[in-house]
Amino acid sequence: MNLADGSKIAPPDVAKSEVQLLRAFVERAIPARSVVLVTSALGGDGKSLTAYSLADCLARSGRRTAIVDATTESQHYVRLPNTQRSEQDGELAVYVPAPKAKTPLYREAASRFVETLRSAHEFTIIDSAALLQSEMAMALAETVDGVLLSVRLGRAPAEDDEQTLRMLERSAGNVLGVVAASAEAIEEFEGRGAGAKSGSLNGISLSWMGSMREAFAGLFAHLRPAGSASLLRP
Amino acid sequence: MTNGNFGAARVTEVYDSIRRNAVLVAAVFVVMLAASAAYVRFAPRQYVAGANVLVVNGNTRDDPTLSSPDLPSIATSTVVLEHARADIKLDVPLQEMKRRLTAKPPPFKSSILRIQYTDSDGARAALVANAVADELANYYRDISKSRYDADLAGLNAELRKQSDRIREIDREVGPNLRSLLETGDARSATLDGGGNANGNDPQSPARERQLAKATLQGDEARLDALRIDAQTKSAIARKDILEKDALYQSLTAAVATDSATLARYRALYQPDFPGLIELERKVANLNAAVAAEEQRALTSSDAFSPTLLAAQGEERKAEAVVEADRARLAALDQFVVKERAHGTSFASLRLERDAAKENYLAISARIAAALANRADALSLGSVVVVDRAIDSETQIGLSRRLLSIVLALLILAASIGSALLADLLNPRLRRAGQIETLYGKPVIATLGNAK
Repeated sequence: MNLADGSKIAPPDVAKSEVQLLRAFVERAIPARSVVLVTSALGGDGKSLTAYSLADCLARSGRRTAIVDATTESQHYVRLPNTQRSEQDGELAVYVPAPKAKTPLYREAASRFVETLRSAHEFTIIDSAALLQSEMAMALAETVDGVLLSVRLGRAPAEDDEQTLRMLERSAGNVLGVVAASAEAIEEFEGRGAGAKSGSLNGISLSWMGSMREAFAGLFAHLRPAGSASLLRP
Repeated sequence: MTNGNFGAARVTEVYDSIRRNAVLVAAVFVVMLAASAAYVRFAPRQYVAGANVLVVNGNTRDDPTLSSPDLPSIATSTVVLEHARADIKLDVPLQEMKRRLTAKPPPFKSSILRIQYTDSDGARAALVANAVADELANYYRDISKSRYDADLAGLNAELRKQSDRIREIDREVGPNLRSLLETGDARSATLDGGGNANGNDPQSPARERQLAKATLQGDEARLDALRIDAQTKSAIARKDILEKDALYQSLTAAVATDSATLARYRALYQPDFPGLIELERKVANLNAAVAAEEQRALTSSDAFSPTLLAAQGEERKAEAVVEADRARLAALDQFVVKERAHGTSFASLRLERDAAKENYLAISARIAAALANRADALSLGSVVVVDRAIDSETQIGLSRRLLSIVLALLILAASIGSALLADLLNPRLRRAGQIETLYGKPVIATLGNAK
């Protein structure tokens, strides 16, 4: 992933064929200009890995794609400036929550937010928090075009799994399916962001998706964000 | 997913499972390896030795009991094993011996029965196998012959009984009436309520006596006629013979002439006339000569007359017939007297004799069949030891090396299986199928390898 200054965040080291399979499934299951929410029953189930892998793959296939870090509840999301990718990597817009905007998006705001994303990009992938831990995730699930559930392989089943399913059924969310993620792949993905210099931006380390918020906060601390980054509120 | 990919995925799953449960796999491997090594080291060795016997079936005739004797059962029977054990002074319990012994029946179109014995000692295994084979041959020979001997003894006794009864009846009836018994049809003789022959029986002694008497009268008349005929033919033949004898004729003529002269002299002279006395002597001499010549002529070989001989032969035959008729009549008279005196029923005797005769014939046929089967059993139905067991070096089951290899493979499989079993019993979500079951939704993709 190329950032504005030429720094790169390497895509997760997961089997490309599986990601291609996931991409093909999403493209077939929902029409273009759709928004997909990636969530899970528990934390650490590989939501960010799934969301980024899917978004990156869609972008590489020529789709104008956006990825939204909604793991932290916020009313304001801004598009990272100068995140350029090569033509070969395709277009991928990255949205992160604005600092000091901790109030979550509720139903109507979430709907508007999704509509904005839908009109701006062919595919938008929202990396949300665990469904039972975030009201905003629940509000988004009701408004997006499809929901992908991420499950970490190797963990024991929990009551939260059943509750998540019941909540999705009540909210009439369109559950597309489940994406299994191995613990090693998740750890590798999160570890890469935490320590890899290849993910650095102006000397600030990036923990991809999981620490994107901190990265953006650091970015604001040193850089002036682009004025066009705000989506919903100035 | 193609078959190749699926297979590779399965292999990867197994590999990951082993890696996850490496400690368990190692523990299972070590424990089983130790146990297997102990087993290979201390497991008792068993040797097997076998003897082959040739079985020749003797069933060629009509005795169904000869067909397909159950030789395996006989070979493992208590009788055979007891004898074999006594022969070789074996101290193994009979049940144990039976358990270690196998007698495989001959396969289709084969006459070889294999007797095998398993023992911890190879030499003893061969010894027991041979002893059982020998004892089987002996025992089979005994039972093959003995049953026919017993049958034959019984049949012969019954045959003697019937024969004695027939002879007894014959003696009772007498030789002159035996033909009446033998020619009569017992079933045609009608019996009254008391079992006695009624008057309508054409073969009853009374009726037979009437017939015999009439026959005697006829035969006597025929004999008289034959005698007259023979006398007539004898006279004619004598005349013919003497007419052809010239000496006899000349002597007769001389006697006639001298007799005429003698008659004239007697008329003319006194008795003391010397010429008369001389002539009388001459006539007497001539008569003697005539008689001698007649005797000679009639007894000479030239005097043969076939007609006369035939007539005389017929006469003698008729005399014999008449004598037989008289004897038969006398016997009938005697039997009738006896029948009246003792109440003996001729019809019942005849029925009894016929029954005894039928029994005799039936028993004779059975004896013939039994003799034939016995001959078959002796000459053809036999068991012969054709291949004796030798001290066995053949160990039952796998050799130590092969056993070690097999056990090693089993241990490896068990170790891997323990890892798979542990995963199977582990409730953690490790496979897509578990997740699909939990969520009721399809697993679209799996990112990263499942560990």
